[in-house]
Amino acid sequence: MQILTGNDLKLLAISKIYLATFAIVACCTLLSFLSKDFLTEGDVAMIYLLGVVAVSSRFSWMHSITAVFLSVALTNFLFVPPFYTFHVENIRSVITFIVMFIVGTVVTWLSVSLRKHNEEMKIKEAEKTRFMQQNEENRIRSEKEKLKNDLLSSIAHDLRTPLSSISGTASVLLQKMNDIKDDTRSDMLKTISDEAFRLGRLVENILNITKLESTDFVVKKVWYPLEEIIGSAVSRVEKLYKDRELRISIPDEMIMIKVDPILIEQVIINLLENAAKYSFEKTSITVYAEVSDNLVVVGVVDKGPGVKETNIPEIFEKFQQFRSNSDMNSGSGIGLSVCKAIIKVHKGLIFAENTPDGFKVAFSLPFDETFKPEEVI
Amino acid sequence: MKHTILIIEDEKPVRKFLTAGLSTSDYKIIEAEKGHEGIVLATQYLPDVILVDLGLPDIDGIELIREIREWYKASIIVISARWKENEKVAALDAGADDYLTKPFGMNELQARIRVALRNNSRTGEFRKDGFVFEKEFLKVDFESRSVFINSEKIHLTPIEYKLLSVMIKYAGKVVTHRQLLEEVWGGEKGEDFNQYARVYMAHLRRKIEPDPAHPKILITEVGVGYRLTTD
Repeated sequence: MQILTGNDLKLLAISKIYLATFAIVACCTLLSFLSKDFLTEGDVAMIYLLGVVAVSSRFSWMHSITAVFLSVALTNFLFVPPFYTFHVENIRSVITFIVMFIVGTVVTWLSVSLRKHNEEMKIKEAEKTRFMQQNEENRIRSEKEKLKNDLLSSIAHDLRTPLSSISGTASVLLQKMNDIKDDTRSDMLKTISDEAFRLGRLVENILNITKLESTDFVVKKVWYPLEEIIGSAVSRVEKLYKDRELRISIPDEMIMIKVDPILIEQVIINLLENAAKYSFEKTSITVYAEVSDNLVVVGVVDKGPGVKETNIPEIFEKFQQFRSNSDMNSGSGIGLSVCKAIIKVHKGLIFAENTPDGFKVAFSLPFDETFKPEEVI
Repeated sequence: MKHTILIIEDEKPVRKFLTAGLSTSDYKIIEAEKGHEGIVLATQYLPDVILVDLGLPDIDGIELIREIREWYKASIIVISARWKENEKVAALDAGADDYLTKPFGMNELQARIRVALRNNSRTGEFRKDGFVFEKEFLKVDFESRSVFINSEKIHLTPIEYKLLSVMIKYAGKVVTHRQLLEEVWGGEKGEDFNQYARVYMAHLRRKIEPDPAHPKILITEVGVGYRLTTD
């Protein structure tokens, strides 16, 4: 054993792997040595071969062959009489050594080539995956690029409409300040003010859509009474459309939903604004809410002309605009796509239909998580 | 006597229109372009109301509010963008009294300033014996601790009563969920506790408002808190 330790120490500097190889062989030696009274030469050879298998399964062929030589030498030196010499008395021992050597070499060769094959496969696999990933990335990138272009052109168009009425009206006012009648002037000023507010809401939606489409966006859900969100949305829109009658029809019991309240409010605001924009003056707009076992449905119904059946599936796509009416405001195609994106991050659904009561756009949210006040008390 | 209003806003067009809009009323306007300048002017003039834009170039708006609030007792109104709810809540919790969302109209601003001035003069006066609050169909008699809807006495639980009196104490101003929790239940609570405030507020609203989804008095500021309207 001392010789072995000495060997170990000498070779320590060569490499960690050799050290590990020696450690494995040393373990086999120790195991054989401790139990040598019960073991035959053949058993000892088996134990060493086990060590060779261990070495060859992890390290290169050089280490494995080293382990083979070491094993044969150590078997000879320690376990084959005469002990502690390299002499051999019995021809059977020579056969043991030869078999040990051959088996060890074959094991080394098999194991190393198997590993090599596996590594090659892995590299091929990795290359394949990388190739596919690149393809996918390219596809996503070009899709995003297209989306961005569509978004930019749509935004440019949507911004230009209110901007041109603001700048146009303002320039007329500046030029002909004194020639314009008082009530016309106040009308024009009102146009500027209204259009500016419209611009503001548009910017809000644009910001929302960029926020929702950023990859690191996480929706922050909290428990909120549905009536608060609807009430707040209604009060915001009410101010803008004083000639419409807004009706609210929601269940009497309190409905708590787990949502991002500001985003859901934005959806309802957008739906209400669309309803006001595309329906006729002095008609009514209804906001309703319904609860079934596992769904909350919130919708807005207007008395406008509705949308052609065939176009309905497309109204939630970006930049599509199917409702128009000669003297009504031209719409931004962005409102409903924002709604769709918001409802999507809430794992809900948004849909539209022409009903006998009017045109309806509604969304549903999962309602399986029931609110328990005890949770918070 | 003219009330003094300090406007801290870095954008000149906005400053210009604020000054133009407010000068016609009975206000004396002082303008500051930067945060530090604003702090100096605030110490010099002790304005009745400070209007602060949160996006200042030289100092973080929340920091500015905290700094001014250390010694300044009157009203601070924050001007903020709509989609920055967190910023609004942070500003209110840092000591601002109210906020205005861009873009806003002059009527809205003037209404907020009126509320702010009223709150300035009412500090300490609240809850004097015999104080009665009346607004449309709601009447609260603080001496007898009774609440009336259309002259009919209604029953409120102790927590609902406390909620209502806090809202009346800050009438016209926005009260954040956190402020409500602190005032009604006391102590610092986690954000999860905010829903507690919302549930109780919803219950209270059901007892007071004829149409809870279309409230006339207890208005929801989604994501921020509540406001008891005074106009």
